[in-house]
Amino acid sequence: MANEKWAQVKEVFDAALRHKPAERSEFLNEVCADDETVRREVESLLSSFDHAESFMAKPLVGELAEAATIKKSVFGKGHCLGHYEIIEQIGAGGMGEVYLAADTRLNRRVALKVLPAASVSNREANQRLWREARAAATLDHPHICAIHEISEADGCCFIVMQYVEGETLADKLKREKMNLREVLNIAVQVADALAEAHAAHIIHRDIKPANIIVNNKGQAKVLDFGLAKFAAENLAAQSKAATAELLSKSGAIMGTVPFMSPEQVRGKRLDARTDIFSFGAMLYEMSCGQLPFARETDAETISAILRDEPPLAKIPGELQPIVQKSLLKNAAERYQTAQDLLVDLKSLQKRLELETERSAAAEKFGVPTLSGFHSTDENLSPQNETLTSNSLPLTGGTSNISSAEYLVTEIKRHKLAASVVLIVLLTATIAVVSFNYFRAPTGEKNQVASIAVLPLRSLNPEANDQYLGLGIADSIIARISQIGALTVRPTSAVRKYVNLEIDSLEAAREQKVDSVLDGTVQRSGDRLRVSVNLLKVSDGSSLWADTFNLSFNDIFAMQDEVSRQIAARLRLKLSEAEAARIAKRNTSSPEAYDYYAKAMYHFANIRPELNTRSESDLAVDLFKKAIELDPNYALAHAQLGYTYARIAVFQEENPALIEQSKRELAIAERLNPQLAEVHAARYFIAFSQYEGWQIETAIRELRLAQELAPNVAHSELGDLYNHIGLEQQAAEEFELALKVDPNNDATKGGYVGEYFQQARPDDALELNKRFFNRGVDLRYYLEKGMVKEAEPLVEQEYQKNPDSDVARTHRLLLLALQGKHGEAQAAVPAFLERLRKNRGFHHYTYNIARIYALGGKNEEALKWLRVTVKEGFPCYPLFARDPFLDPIRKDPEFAKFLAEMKEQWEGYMQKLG
Amino acid sequence: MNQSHRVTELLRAWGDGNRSAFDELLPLVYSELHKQAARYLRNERRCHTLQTTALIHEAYLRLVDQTDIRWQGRTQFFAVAAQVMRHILVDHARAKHRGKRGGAAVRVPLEEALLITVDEQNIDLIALDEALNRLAQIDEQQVRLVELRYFSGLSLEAAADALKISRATVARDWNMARAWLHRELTR
Repeated sequence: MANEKWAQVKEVFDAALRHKPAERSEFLNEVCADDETVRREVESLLSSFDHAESFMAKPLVGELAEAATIKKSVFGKGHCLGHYEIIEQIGAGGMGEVYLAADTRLNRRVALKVLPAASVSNREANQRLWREARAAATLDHPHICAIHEISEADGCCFIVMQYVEGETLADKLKREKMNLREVLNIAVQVADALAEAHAAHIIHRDIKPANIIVNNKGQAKVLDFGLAKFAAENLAAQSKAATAELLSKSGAIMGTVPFMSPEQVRGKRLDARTDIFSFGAMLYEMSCGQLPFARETDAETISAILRDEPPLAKIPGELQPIVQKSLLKNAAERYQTAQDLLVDLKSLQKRLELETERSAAAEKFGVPTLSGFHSTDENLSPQNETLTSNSLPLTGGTSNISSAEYLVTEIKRHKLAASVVLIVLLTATIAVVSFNYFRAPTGEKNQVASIAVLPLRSLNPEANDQYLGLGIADSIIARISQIGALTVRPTSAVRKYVNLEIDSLEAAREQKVDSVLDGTVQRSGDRLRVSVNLLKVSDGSSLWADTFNLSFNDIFAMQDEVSRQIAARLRLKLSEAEAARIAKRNTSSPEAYDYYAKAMYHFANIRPELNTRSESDLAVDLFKKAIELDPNYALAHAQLGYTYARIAVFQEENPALIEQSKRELAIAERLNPQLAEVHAARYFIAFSQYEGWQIETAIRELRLAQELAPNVAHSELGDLYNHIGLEQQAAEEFELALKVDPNNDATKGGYVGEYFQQARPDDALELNKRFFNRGVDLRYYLEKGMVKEAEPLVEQEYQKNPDSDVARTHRLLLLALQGKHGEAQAAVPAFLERLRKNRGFHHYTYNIARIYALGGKNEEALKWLRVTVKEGFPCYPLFARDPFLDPIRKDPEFAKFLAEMKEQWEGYMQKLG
Repeated sequence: MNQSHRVTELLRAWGDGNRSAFDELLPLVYSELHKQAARYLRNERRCHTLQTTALIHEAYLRLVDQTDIRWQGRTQFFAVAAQVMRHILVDHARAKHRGKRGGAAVRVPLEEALLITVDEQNIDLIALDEALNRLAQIDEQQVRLVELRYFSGLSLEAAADALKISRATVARDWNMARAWLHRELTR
């Protein structure tokens, strides 16, 4: 049709639509009498219009989302299934949706896998499947994601699992190539899990990278044991359509084609050996990033699984025999048990570690002396005695090859005193092995869950070596803090006992721990004599005592031994990664360590509120000396970096220090990517005036630090959460901080103070009662607007500390509350003049905003609110709740501001909540 | 950081008749909308329809300098965003559906993890896109309207606002465009 008639067609079409369908023809006759083209076009369009029905009736994207949401059903935040409260959806797979949820009874986080609804009758029909899934739920293994329960509520059948953080191995493989060591590390853990499950007659049936979760410490957990079949058959009982739909969506239910064993694709009866084949396929993919039998279509893949040989040339030679033996078509020829497979993997792993260590040792250790480090005979523990009969079983299944290997090298050099040394170190290595296999019975009474390591008392009254007793305690604390099952009081909590004459058990009760390590240290030249005693607090019994006479050079071996003994004596279950990290030494130079220990002593003295610059400078010098002696001393680099940052933030406004700090941290991270200290320091920098208060980055750094050392930085993280208004999370972190260190007044004070800063005076009051048995105070009166009560206290505070910014702020707030707005506002510029842009700055600017808000100066108030936000305090819940801001709430600009803040806050909730 | 200034400038230039400003705007708006759509679908706010207008509004708040209150760029932004939404959706349909025509289901993976099947409507997005290109030769305003209504979920009123035409005209154009496109797609 000619375009020039378009306008005419449009008009006629529109007019025709206004007529009833029956009258349209007559209408068209009238208006198009002389133009057949227009008439035909309009008729055609009218007919099309009548048939269009729902065509484009709803917006496309709305439609899309509807399709999505209907299929995802689904539960929103706060929905309760039984006693589980949904927090958020974290995944959707072939088997159903997965949610993060709170177990309201046991107060822990869990993952819920909601299966398509199984009716009661289904359930009866599927008794056997339920039994099998329940059997899987009894598995208890460090590398198997625990199933807590299988349950039904509201017609939904769901599986309650341990919530594991990390990424799936599939995602990891998409992201990066793994080196052989990483591959083996994961493979050993998964094989270990398979061995355990197979021993309990539970088959997985769907081993593949998407079912393995790996955290950033390299720990792996296998998901969905025994559930593949459960889900498949449970579904089969449902409507055909639902099954077909899910099947077509994902092969996960029946196994995942490229990982299926020949007997599985043939639909034969399966036994444990199917998992070994799938494992082989997965090991292959981990080693080279490709699948052994992947083809264009499923049909071709199946054919390859049945017939083709895997192209082994693509994977590292060391792995080829293992992969080959796992991927044999005939199950009878394959590895017959996961245990056999595990043995081969472990011995390969050991061989590789030995090789690496050997070449590293040859390069690195010059000639460290190892003279006369031994336990005194009378203190040889029973365990040591039994082990003396073992003659050099160096090939024992130990995960601590490094020290054994080191030892062998050393013994060759120093035949003197070698045998005793050997026995002691062997005890150490074997201890690691023994607690790898040791299972602490759960729920055992009197189990020790927390410990305080007291600074070792110096027995040289004249020597200036208190740092050493504290240093040794600190090193032991650092090592055993990596054991997830043990709560260890931090060095800051036990530091006060350095010069305090106090009974250990009394100190332990003060620290609210159920075990305590105390001891003495005596240094004479190059010789050390260290005695330690591990006590159980409940009955005062000694769990272990030992005395070490050693050369200073052997100080690390002693620390290793003490740490391991603590773990062993407290019957703690260590994961391999934990055992490895405990044994990890930060330096091989005792002299460097000596400087480091001294530096840490001064580092801990740095206080923001005091003039402690000399302590900072001393710490810097000493860290540098440590690094000079051992340039690869990662921890010293990290703490030097942290010290620079603290100086820059608290003592000297100087961006160059921040740059220096970052350089040191980068070196530390390169040397040892697993240092919590690096992330703690980076948090400190990110949330500073230098980096524009990057709260999100800071939070991520703290979370990384906590993944590496579960006890650290909880109050810092709580503080950050409060700043962005994630109040629930903040409270949780503060509670955790108090669990780690229940006597820390700074934590308690901070917790209370933040409630005041959040305009929650009643909550603050409650905490004040709980912690300090204190009642209402000045801050309470001010926040409540109780002018009469506040007046004398504000004046009193100001008289006492006329220079305190806090006291001045209180004064200005009081003026505003008294209605003396002119006076209050006039004092603001002078007040601002004094302020430094340090960590507290945004709290002062916020109070300035409040002063203007009370005085009805909307524009000024908003200006200062925006400054507050920009300077690191975007706390939406506070802005929404604070009665001091009420006078400006009707202002549309404030409403706009609040809406923006709300949106930002919702973003935080999603990203970080 | 100054992306919002840039976007505002470009919108203004486009409003003043500068066509090349539009070409520069497209990728900026595209990436923002794409990000937002993916995020919505991932975190899915538990309502039963994706609020497309909310999505675009959010993109607008992120992309357009909010402090420049002398200039009301919202409607213009919506006009750009609508075209972008069409691009996003059709591109994905094309990528997933290469070569096939008129199939019962068009998969539109706005976010890889979440495949959504649009089979209720049986609309072949690629064919629709081509029909829209033909319609653009005859009546560009109707195409813009379809983008606003169908690809972006704007109400008649909002679309009238964005196109700066009366509600009556919008209603008339909408009926006509639907009839015309339906005919094209059922030929």
